[in-house]
Amino acid sequence: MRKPFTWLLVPTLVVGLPHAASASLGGNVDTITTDQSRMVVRLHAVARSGAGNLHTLTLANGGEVREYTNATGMVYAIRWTGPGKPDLESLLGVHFATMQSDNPVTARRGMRRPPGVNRVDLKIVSGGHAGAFWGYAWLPQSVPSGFDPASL
Amino acid sequence: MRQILATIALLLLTACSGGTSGAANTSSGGTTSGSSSSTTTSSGGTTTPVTNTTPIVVDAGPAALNVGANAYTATNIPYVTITVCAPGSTSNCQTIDHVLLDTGSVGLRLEASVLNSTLLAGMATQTDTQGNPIGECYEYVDNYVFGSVRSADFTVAGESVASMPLQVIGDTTGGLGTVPHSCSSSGGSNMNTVQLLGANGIIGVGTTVTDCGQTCTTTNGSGGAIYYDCPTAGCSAVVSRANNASAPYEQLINPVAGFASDNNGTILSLPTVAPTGVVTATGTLYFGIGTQTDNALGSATVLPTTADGYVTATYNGTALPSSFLDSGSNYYYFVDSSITACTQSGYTGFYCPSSALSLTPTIKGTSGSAISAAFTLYNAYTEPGATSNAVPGVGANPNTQSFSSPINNSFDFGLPFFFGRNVYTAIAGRQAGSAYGPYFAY
Repeated sequence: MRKPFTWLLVPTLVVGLPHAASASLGGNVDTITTDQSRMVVRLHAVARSGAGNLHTLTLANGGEVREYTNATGMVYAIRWTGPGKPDLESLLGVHFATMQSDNPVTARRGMRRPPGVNRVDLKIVSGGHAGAFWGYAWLPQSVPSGFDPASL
Repeated sequence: MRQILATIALLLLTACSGGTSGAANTSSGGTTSGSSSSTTTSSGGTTTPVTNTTPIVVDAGPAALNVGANAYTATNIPYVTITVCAPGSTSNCQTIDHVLLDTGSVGLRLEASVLNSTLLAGMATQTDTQGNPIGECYEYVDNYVFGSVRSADFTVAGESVASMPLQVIGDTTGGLGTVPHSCSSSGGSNMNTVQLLGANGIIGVGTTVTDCGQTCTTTNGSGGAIYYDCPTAGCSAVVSRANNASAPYEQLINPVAGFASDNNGTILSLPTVAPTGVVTATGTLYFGIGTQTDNALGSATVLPTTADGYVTATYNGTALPSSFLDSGSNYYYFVDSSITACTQSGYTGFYCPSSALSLTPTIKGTSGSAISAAFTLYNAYTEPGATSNAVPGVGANPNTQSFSSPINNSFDFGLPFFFGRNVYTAIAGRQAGSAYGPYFAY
């Protein structure tokens, strides 16, 4: 087992940056750097995970984002925890619009529940309450065999 | 049947509220345990009204919900009435009903549309070191609110906080008209109307003193709250706000934590509600725990929470470490794919067992033993009456579209759990009865 390697980052501005054309979930490993620039990231650790890597972004607010890449360098799953939600528009990329459309604000007239997505090609499960959030997102058609989202 | 139940509830309320003199002394409608006293006796033998209680109403919500294409009536949402005044004024005030009482968040937030223009003008916007208005984004689990941070003298029951920071949701003054990208990118929408929020405002009385804590005390620091520098060109830079637990406040505070006394937590006391529900349920919100004769901890079991406000529920043998009690969640939210799901239109995600189910979750705090949180789950489609706004025993899968979700780490004990109970929420770092917050107790 290879030892994880880490490097420190200079915190960058959260806002005002141009939007990248490609996105993290479903994008290639380079998009993780874009995510980094969108959030205040204190530490970026990389460790082997299956045939790919696990990129762990430690946020300045104590939150954490885990991005899993497969052998081809594609991000196939993300997990987040923290006192505030991370930049989900950046992390989910094109899939952010799907999360938004599947969870319209008008649905609040019934259930008051966390957003979720259950599609053939996209799963999102989230939860928590104000000040403590968590969530999982993965691409079922791109995950390694034997994938268990609970292990993210 | 529904009409009869509603009538009984009203009669109980009427009977209980007679004979008290203080304006805030309305008693609860039919709650049984331990909170009946409404006066204290001073050393001279005269009685002084305790003014640490205010009514909670679970009803259809403000009229503004039930209009237009997306009209609806509220279900299982507890409301209180509060008063805000321009700082230092006793006349430039407004009493606002149907403010959502939320044990799962922190801070008072009012919709701009319900505030009269004179009061809005009188509540000065907080400013940053550049003299620009402060804006705030605050995230809830499903959506967010964005608006200005202003100061007001806040009053509820006999309790008050002078120059308390609050959020005016949907305030588009100056540069506040556009929601910053770093706010909207958290997902969901801005709940900037009464109809979208489901209330005229929200009063968060959760387990922390401030709404962001240490994470907002550095430039670019953001947590569940994000504070912005808002020049007329728009809000973009994230500014630091001190985590002051006493005046002058910078972050929004838990309004209860700002009281001169009775400032260590709350008790939500709601009546037992029949399975079909009632049109209106009325209870009592007590301020303080163990500070008056009416708010003793008594025999309630203390469940210390994590810093995140979590306890561990165990359900069907599985420990769920991200569990919580939340008056702002309108049902029980938990994952159990063995329970029949509703198939009716508009009921996706709700549980529809063919007969009432006795469920036996337990809850354990960060110390102490697990205690029962058992309840009866009813069919969400057939059991509640058509006109019921307060319905017990209704549950749903939190991720409605993933009924057999592989992720199972949370049990959200929403408002149905509060019916027929006194639920205590103690604020972090404050001694409340025999224990220090943060804790839940019941």
